[in-house]
Amino acid sequence: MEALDLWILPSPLERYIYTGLSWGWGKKHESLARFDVFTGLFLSYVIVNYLVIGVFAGTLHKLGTHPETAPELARALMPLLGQTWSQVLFYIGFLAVPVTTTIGMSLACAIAIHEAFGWKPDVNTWRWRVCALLPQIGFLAVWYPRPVWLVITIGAFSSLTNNIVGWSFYILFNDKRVLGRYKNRSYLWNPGILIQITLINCIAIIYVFNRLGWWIK
Amino acid sequence: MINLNRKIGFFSLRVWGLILNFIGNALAIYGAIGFISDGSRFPVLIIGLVLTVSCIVILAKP
Repeated sequence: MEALDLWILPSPLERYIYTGLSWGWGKKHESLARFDVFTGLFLSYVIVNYLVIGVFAGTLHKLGTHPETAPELARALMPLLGQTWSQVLFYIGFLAVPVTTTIGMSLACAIAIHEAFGWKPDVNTWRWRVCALLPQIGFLAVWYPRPVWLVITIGAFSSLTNNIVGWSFYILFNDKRVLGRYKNRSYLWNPGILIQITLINCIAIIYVFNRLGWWIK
Repeated sequence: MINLNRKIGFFSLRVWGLILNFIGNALAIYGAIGFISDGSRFPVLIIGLVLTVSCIVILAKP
C-alpha cells in the first residue's frame, strides 16, 4: 500500500509539474514525463517492492523468526543466499538507502521549504544546508538499542500522516491559482487519487482502532 | 452543478468533502469490525460505505 501511495500521489507533481517547469519543460515533454513516472516509480516502487516484500516474508515466515536487529535480519536471509552473500546483499541494501533515497529526500525537503517560504534556493547558504538536513533523523538509531524498532515507529507515524499528504496533493492538483493551466482537468485522475486517499485514510483509522483495542479479536 | 471551490466557513467544499469522506471511512471500518465480529453494526457499515462512495463521486469533479 505504501508503495502505491508513493507512486500514485506525488509522482506527476514531483516529476513533471515542479521539476519539469523549473527546467523549462513544455507540452512536448509530457510523454517523456509519463515514461519516466512509469519506469522510474511504478516499476521500482510497486513491482520490485512487492517482490522484495514477498520474498522476505516467505523466508522469515518459514523460519518463524522475528528479527529485531541488523545482524539478526542478515542472518534471516542466510538460508536463501548463504552466509557470505546474505551479509553482502544486506549491507548493499543498507548502503543503497543513503546514496539514493536519503539524498533525494533531503533535496526535496530543502526545495519544498524554500518554495513554501518564498526563499531563493542557494546551495551555498547555511539555510539550504539546514533545510536539507532536517529530515535526517536516522542518526537517532545510534543511541537506540533496537534500531529496527525505530523503523517500525517511523512507519507507524507515516501510516498516521500519509493521508494528510494525500489530501494535500488532491487539493493542490485541483487548485487553479497554484497550477494554472496544469490544474487537473481529468475525470479519471481525481477518482484514482480519491480511492487512494480512502485507502490511506483506512490505514490510519485501522492503526488508531488497533491502539484503542477496537480491532477484531 | 456544485462549485467545489466555494468556501464555506474555514474551508472550501473540497476540503469539507475530504473530511466527510474520512468520517465515512471511519464509520465503514467501525461497522465492518462489528459485523465481522458478531454480526452487529450493519447499518453503521452501510452508512459509512454510502458516505464514502458519495464523497468520491462528488469530489471526482475536477
